[in-house]
Amino acid sequence: MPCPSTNRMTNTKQGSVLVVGGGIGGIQAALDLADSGFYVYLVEDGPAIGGRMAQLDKTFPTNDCAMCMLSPKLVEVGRHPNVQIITLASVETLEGGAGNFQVKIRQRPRYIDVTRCIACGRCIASCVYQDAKFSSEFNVGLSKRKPVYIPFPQAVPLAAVIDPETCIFFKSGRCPQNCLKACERQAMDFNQKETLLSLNVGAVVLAPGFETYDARLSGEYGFGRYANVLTGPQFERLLSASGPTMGKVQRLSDGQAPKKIAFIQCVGSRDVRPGVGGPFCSAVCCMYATKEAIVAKEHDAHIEPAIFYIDLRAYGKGFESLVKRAKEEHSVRYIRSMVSQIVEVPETKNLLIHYRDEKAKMCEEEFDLVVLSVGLRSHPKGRELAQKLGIELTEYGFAKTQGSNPVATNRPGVFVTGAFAGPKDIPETVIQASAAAAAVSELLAEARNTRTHAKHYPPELSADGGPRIGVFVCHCGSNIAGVVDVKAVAEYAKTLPGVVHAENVLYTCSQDNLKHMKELVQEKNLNRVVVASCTPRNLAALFQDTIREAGLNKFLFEMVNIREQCSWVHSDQPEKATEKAKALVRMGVAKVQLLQPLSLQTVTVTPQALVLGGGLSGMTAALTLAGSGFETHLVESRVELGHDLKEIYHTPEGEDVQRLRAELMDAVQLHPKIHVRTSATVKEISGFVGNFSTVIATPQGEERVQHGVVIVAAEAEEYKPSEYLYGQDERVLTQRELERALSPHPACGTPTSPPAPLRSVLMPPLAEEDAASKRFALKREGSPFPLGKGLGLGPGVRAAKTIVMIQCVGRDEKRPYCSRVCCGEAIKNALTLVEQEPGRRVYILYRDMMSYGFLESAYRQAREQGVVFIRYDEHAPPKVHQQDDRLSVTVNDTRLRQEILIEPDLLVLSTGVIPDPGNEELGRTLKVPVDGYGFFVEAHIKLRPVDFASHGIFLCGASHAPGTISELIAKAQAAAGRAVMILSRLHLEAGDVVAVVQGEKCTACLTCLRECPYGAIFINPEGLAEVEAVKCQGCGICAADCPAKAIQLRQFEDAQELSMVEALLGTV
Amino acid sequence: MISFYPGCTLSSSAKPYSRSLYWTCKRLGIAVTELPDWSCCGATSAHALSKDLAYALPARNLAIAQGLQSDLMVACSACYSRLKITQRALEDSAIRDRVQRIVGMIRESPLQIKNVLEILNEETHLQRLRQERTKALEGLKVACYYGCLVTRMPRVLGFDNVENPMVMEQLASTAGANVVNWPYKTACCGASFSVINETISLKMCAQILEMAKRCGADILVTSCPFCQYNLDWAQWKLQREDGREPAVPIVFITQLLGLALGGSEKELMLGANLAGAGKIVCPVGARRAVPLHQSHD
Repeated sequence: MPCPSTNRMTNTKQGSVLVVGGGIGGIQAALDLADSGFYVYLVEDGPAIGGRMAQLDKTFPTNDCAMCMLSPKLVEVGRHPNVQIITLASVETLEGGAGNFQVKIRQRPRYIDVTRCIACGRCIASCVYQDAKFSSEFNVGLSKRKPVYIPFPQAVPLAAVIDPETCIFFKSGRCPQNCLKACERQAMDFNQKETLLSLNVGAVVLAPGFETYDARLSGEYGFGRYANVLTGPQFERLLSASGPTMGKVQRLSDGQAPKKIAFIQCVGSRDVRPGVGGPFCSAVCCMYATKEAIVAKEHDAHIEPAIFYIDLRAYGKGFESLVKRAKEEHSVRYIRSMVSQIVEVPETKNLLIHYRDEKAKMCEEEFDLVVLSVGLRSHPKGRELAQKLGIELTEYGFAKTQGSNPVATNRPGVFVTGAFAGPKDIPETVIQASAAAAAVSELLAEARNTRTHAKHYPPELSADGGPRIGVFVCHCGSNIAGVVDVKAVAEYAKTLPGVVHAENVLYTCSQDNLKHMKELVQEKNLNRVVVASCTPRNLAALFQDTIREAGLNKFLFEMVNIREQCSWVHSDQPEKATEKAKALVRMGVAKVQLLQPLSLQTVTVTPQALVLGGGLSGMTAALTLAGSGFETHLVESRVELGHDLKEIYHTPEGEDVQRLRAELMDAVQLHPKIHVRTSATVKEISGFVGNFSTVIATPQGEERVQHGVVIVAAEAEEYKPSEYLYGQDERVLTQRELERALSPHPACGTPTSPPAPLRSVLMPPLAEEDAASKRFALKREGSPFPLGKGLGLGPGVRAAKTIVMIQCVGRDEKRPYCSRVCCGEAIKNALTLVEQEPGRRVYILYRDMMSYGFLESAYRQAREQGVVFIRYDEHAPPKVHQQDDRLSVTVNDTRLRQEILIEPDLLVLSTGVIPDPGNEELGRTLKVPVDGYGFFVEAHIKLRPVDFASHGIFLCGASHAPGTISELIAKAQAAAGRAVMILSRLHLEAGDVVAVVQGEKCTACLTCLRECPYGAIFINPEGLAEVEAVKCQGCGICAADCPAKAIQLRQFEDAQELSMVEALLGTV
Repeated sequence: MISFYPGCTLSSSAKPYSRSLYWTCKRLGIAVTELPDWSCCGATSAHALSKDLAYALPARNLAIAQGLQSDLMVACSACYSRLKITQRALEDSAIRDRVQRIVGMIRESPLQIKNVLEILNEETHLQRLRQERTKALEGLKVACYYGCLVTRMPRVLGFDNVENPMVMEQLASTAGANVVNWPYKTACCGASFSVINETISLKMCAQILEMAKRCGADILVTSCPFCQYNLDWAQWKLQREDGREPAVPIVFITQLLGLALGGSEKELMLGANLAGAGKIVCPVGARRAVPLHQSHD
């Protein structure tokens, strides 16, 4: 426990937060917090932020490019005025308590000044090591780097770093230090020392991530011995365009393109051997192998991937359909068999795999390449951090959290996110990051905006009076000037129309030049600026900010890339590169003349929230919002709150759900800022982010509320089946009904005296059997079990001796998705059944056990306690008959390849969850999308999992995607946290780069209205299309599609774009 | 000072193993004394008949060593495995009580059971080996064969990686030989089947021998007396049956180290091996020594 601090500021809550770990979890938490009014210190152990996601080629289930999604976030966090990134640093001590901590950070020297380094690579080229010879961390050992290196092309901070472990200077002291001389920016500093920073923060978010399993420990697969055996993360780099082979899939032994690739699942996962694997499921490998198999095939259609697995755990949103695509469109073979050994063929370095196929045949198959799907383990640095900070860990070394409070640790004020608290994928990590930010936001609500910096700009100068353009041509040291004649380009720029000043500068982005640029704007009365230098991705915002400081509107700016597009690609043709640079500058100058100042529309935010749905998620979201200080209206269509938790009694981890429900309901009803309306529906909703207006209909009448955000927190229901005699025979029930009957609930009556002992016996093969399928029966002896009419569910259930559970009931072509929670529920109830009475026989008939993550332990425990798991094929589901008052279940066991007959006293159906049937209508009212199964569709499955594409509307609850209680709580907190980012601002600024309709050209054909993904277009009282500037995201779809050319996207108007073409080619 | 448990095979069929082991240990300065009054460990048969017997037989030997307060060196893979498994099983009080009644001499004092490979691989002995090496083995390509028993003990942590042990490679490389990277180093040779189902055993041996040959091995080195006997015999048999050339001589690791230390054929009993181990020729000059870390890159 934290010791009470003697600091005099102990009682003052601090408006700053420490985030440890610069992976996607830490980045998301940092951005959410910084945008909610807190100052963030983002501490990263390595030389750059980005984490594991930066190393991925694609992400499942959409197979989107990982870097394309991550890179904008890296830039955003890197440039955020309220985020300070501290790399090469670790937390040493944390004293104090929630609201006010004192932190000591140890920062290792980089030996390179980040503020001076421009990542030109001269130090690397000049290093005494002519060849790179040290294993590259980023490429997981598949390529080499030098002692001085840039972590990866999109790194933030984008600067070189020296690894003192391999640098000759630090190792021997004898080095000519060529790098020092080569650096034109004097950025090298070999005298840097380790420093100790002291910070004062109100809360801490820990996101140190995971490490992948060391495949060498599973010696049977020969990783490290056989050249063509790789790990999943290595194969990911092989697929990546920025990887060691630039995306070419090839063997390490001979560089040949592999044809047959085998993926082996569960390497280091679900493994109980001492000193080898971890016994838990790593939760992500089935999907990453599926993704890698598809992407490999996309790279090279000749590749034939095969995936060896135990259970295929495709339990998340969109996972099932990705696997289907893999099988059907990409002919990926899935082989349910665990491989025990790989043998290398000495002559060809191919790999022989022996396995037993599903027909029990021993097979031997030769592959060109094998990929080991290594699992996730707790990171030793995470464990060390936990020890220093007094954070409790689980037996596997992950942070210990409670199901009802998934992002809180044992230490108040210290929160967790991502794989630090257990294996999880990117969306779950992002959800937890936003949830942790929400929890911090709640804790530090009163300190909001006390530590953040707001920048003030001078009043804007007029841009009228004709263009007066300034052009700055950058040398970028010798990066550009080494090839392009920058002086000639600047001289040429002076001749262009409207240009009143042009010059060439050594480094346009240097602090001294930015100052110089500001002075020139004022001195020469410039009203437009063109910078010809590098990619706008990194620096455009910096230059825009600079001219804004000088009083210019930031949109009177154009950037031309003469480094990547001229000097770097045409380094062997300096003259032509110079010509091209002149042409690009000519185009930039032509466009900038036509640019107009754009102003932002300021919208006042109504600091109130509307939460739709009063289940677990709705109540959690409302409490988080109210806890952060915002009035919240909670609308539930049923007569009471917490309907979805009514039939759940405990979680697989053993937490009491009814107590949780009662506590939530009490807290919601007693909270002065939460206004609950039950039996209520939304009749009408209008407005946009910051200012919504909603009419709520209740039995008492209609009421209008004003609010700034909406959270859709619709839950889902257990499917009530028509299959398997449900509703016809009272011995057939669903998992939820079983759970209620098993719980010590007064309504269920008392158990009757136990029936006569029953015994399972193996019957000899039946007479009518055919040769192919033998059949044996597990049958009761003695009189039929007295579970007849009038006995009531409770006593009947408690007296049952033989219980069969069937998984995936009703999961058919129309509803193919996995409901994620049913396997856990079945295991939980099976354990309760055998624990209550050890003589019981419980059979679980399943397709794939989805006991992902730590649920695997419960699965193992159930097997150890004698629960029998029988796998059936999805195309041959079990059959149930009622005969002479007996139930009989026949199932074709895929492992024994025999039909098994069981006569149970109870048949329990795991039926999965179906979304709320009201979702469609709610979706129409809110103009938010619903998918084919009735689930709401988020803005981005990976990085914006709780946002709708429409601003100001967020989602959580099982109607977004099924989840466990703990997962739903995190998602609700995350949605609330995202909403707080809007509510915590007084004003929203919007409407600069937006589409504008020229009314006189509009024919009201409605094309734009239908196409707009954000619902930003409406038909105004004059009957013409109009863009709601606050909703518009500037995507340009309407502008491109308008048949009458009535829509222009500001900053990309037709005239502006055409002027560039004309400048390049002459008038066309 | 360490007690050595030879077990039945080292005093019968694997005499060359014990002879070369004593010789090599002496040259490396490892003082070895035979465990007094030792008895059979039960090896491959006892545990198939009775669990208690399978624990009682090794327990008696463990108790003798504990009485001497010395660690126990074991050369035979089966003995090593049985002794380690028994030591672990005796942590269970119920098993200990039953075994106590049978053997009547269990002691509580700590005892380290070490495989001969583990002891030879200690840094001081490796250094000594490097210094005392007299005969050039440079270029001799050695496939190290561990067999299935020595590293594979369920629920007992062994001295090396279960599936990819490297101890013998380290020793052979230090002795100056070149080690080959091959996939069957922990495969089973089927020794326990050699009496009851010769066909299976021969098939398994043939696979191992052929792979060693394909990977370019001149000789095969092992630390298991069962493997050595079984492979050596299988090779002789296969050669007689279909006239195959003897693939590779099969020698004990201590014979190889002894060779490097200048031991004679007689001192190391190389002539007792079936497949021409007495004529191991090092192609000096023809090949160069490759250090271990490079050969496995």
